[in-house]
Order: sequence, then C-alpha cells, then structure tokens
Amino acid sequence: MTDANKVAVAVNKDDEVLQWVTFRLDNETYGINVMQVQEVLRYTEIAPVPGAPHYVLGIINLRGNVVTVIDTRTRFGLASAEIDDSTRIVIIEAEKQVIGILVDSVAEVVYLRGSEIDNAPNVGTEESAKFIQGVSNRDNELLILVDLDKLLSDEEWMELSQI
Amino acid sequence: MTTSVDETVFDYFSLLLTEVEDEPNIQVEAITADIAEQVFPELISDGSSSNALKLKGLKSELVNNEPVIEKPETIETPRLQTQLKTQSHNKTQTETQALTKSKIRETDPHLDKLALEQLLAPVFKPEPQIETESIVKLQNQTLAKSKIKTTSVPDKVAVKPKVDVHVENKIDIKQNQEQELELKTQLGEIPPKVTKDLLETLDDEFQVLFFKVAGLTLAVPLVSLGGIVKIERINHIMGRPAWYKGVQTYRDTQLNIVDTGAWVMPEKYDKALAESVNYQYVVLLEDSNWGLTCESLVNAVRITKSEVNWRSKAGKRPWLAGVVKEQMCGILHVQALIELLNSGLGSQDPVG
Repeated sequence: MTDANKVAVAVNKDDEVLQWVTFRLDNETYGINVMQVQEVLRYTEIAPVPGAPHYVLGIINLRGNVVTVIDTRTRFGLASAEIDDSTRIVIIEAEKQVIGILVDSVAEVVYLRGSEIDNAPNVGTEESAKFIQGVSNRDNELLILVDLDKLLSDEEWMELSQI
Repeated sequence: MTTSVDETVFDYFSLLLTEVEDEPNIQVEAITADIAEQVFPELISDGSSSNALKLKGLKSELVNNEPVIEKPETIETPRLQTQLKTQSHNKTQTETQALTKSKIRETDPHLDKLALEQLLAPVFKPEPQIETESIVKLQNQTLAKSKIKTTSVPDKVAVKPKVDVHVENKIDIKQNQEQELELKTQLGEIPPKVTKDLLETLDDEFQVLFFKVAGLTLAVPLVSLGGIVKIERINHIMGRPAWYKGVQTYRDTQLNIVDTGAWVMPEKYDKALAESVNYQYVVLLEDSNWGLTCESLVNAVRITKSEVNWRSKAGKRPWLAGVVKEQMCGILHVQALIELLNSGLGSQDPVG
C-alpha cells in the first residue's frame, strides 16, 4: 500500500505512538485502544437476560456493578466456540458505557505508530465492516484494529443501556 | 338443212354448256367470229365458199394472234375466273388480291414488284413483321430513352443533391460495414471498444499465463501480471463479501486475496466445492494489492491477438476480455477487474 492510503487512526500529525491491547478471536488477532480497556477478566458465569438482543450473552456482576457482555464472535460474524481456559472477558468503555466483550484470549499490548496502520480493504457491505479502523502488519502477522465505538450502532447502544 | 334455226341455236348452246374444257377457245372463236362479222360483213353475208375459206383463215389468224397480241390482259382474266370457280373458300382473299392488283394497275401500272411484295407481306407473313417491328420499336424506345438520359444530365444543374444521395448511400454502406465488423469482432478479428485499452498495451503477439481454479482455466496477460505469491497465511477480515478471502502480508504490504472461485462463479461455488478447493498460489493483478487465488499454474504461452475472441461490449462481465480459442478459456481484463474489486463488486453484481 502507498503512504497516501495509510490512515492516521487516532494519531495526531506527529505520528504519535499508540498502545493497543491485542486479543485472539477465531485465529485472528485484533487490537483495541488501550485507553478504552478497563480490565481483563477470566471467564465467569454469564447470566442470560430474557428478551435481550441476539448479540448480548448476558450480564455479570463486576464488583457490584452489572456489566453487559457482548458475544463478539456473533457480532463479528464468526462461528461460536467452546469456552476454555484462555477465554477472557475484556471490560471496555465506549460511548460512555461500560460493557464486556468475550474473546478467545488476550495476547499483549503493542505499540503502533500511525504510519504503521493501513486502511482496511473497503469492500465490506456488511455492518461489521464498519468496526475495523485499519490493519497493521507486525512481525509478519496482521493485526486488525477495531473501533469499539462503532461496535454497536447508536440505537443498539441505547438499547444496551436499558437492559 | 332440215333443222330449224331455233333448234340449231339450242344445239349450239347445249354444246357450249357440255364442252367446258374448250370453253375459252369457243368463246374466243365466237367472239372472234362476231368481230369478224362486224369487221368483214360483206364476207359473211356473201356466204360463198371462197369467202368462207377467207373467214376461216381470218379466224385462225385471230385465234393464233390473239394470245400474242393481248397476252397480259387476256390471260389474267381467265386465271381470275378459274380461281373464282375453284377456290371458293379463298374468294374474299382472291378478290382483295385481284382488287388490289387491279387498283395498282389502275393507279400505277409500272409499280415495282418488290413494292407490291412489301405491301402484301404483312398479310401473308404477319408474325416476323411484327417481331421486327417490336424490335425496332424497342430499339427506338431504348435509343429514345438513352437520348433522354444523355440529354437530361446536362440539363440538371443541381449536381450536388445527386452527390449527397451518393454520400448517404456510402454512409449506409459504412454503417453496414461497421455492423459487419462488429459481428466479426465477436468472432475475434478486431479489438472492440472495451478491450481497446488492453489491446493497445498488448503486442500482436503476447504471453499469457494460464491458471486453474476449481476446474476452471483462466488466462491473464503477462503484462498485467503483478506477480505470483504462494499462499501462506490469509487473515480473515470480518464484514467482507464471501469472495473476499482475506489479507495476506507480503513484503510489508497486505494483499487482498480474492477467492477466485467464489468471485467468478458464485452460483456454482457452494460449500462442498469451497471445501474441495485447495488454493496454492495468488496471482497478483498488475501493481494493485489484489490477488486471485488459484489451485495450480498451468503454463505461460505466447499467443497472437487473433487467437482470442475479443468481446465487443463490456456487458455484465467487463472483467472478461475474451476467450482464448485454443484453450477455450476466459482471458481477464485486469484493469476492469481491479476497478470492480476496488468497488467491492462481485462478478455478477450490477455494474454502473
């Protein structure tokens, strides 16, 4: 890709270095902005909520606060997988709400320059295509950067707040 | 003399009626005898033997001299009489002939025989005459027409309209020729509009790479080939079409990998076929970051433009430049294909 195609994702004009928390999902590595991540939890029992949207797994009690957990695989259009020891619940803050996302595993925190981030191929027609901020090649492995604010639509964020 | 005068007269006339063959001579004799009696009354009234002998001599002279002296008229008349008697069915014709002859004689006795034949010819030989007349008429008509034509051309001052009409005809001919050319191009003769850019870049002889995807052979011109990369690790990216296989890192760049089978023939590319396909290589399209997956690389051969049936119109498949005749496989229009992929369009998505 050319430099013109490169996108400065959450990067200022000085090509600032940002930290990204990476996690695995269906053999792919995704990255989320470290500033939005509050904590990472081991898998705990998730209480289902009757009448909740299909992408909602349920709720957990996080130190006295009810946190809604999102089925990330479903949201990303991936097949469901068995829960194992690597499964984690990542607590994030987006759109002024605190939610949890279920992932296969959490890998590490990486540092990326804005110039190292490329545009994702703009061929997506599905809603999930909007989640991707960009891609970056790191150690011959592709890191897909996710925009958590776009994980859900405004209506969905509203709906989620009323659960 | 025992018989009376009346009986003698009766016998004479009965003889006349019975002797038909000698009738002319008898008539002549009677006529000549009458004339002789009128001319020489003293000899007849005399009744002597010497006078009788003289009368016989005169009669014989008259009989002998008669045909010689008045042959034309005296012979014609009995001939006409016999014709009237024997040829009753041709009476009118003979009468007309006789009348015309007599009239001709009356008007011009020295009329030429040829002139007469010419006059009578239409009556006896009508068909040839009519033919010649018709031929002559036609010849005259054609001559007249040709004369009219030749005379009308210089009369027409406005030559330009004629020229315009001719030009229009030429235009029509050109249009027909263009239609024919279009038909010919579909048969693989002259490059059409859509593939114009591609064909301008191609030499008359160019190389193509053949590769296989799920039993389908495709060709790509080597000038449009960006490279061949072995498939290693393709990262799936969510929210992309089914034909978008993912991204592969190659020399610090990300290649967008197309599931060629799913893109080219989505209607046939079911789950079973997708599972059976074993992609090995990525055929890179020019200098773009798009690559087509393929199971195997067949070979690269040199072909000429005439060996390809170039498509004349983009239609629903602008990515298909034509068909290679010998291998019977599609040849890709890489530029059009890249444009479609950049737009996120599949092979069967509506264009434009």
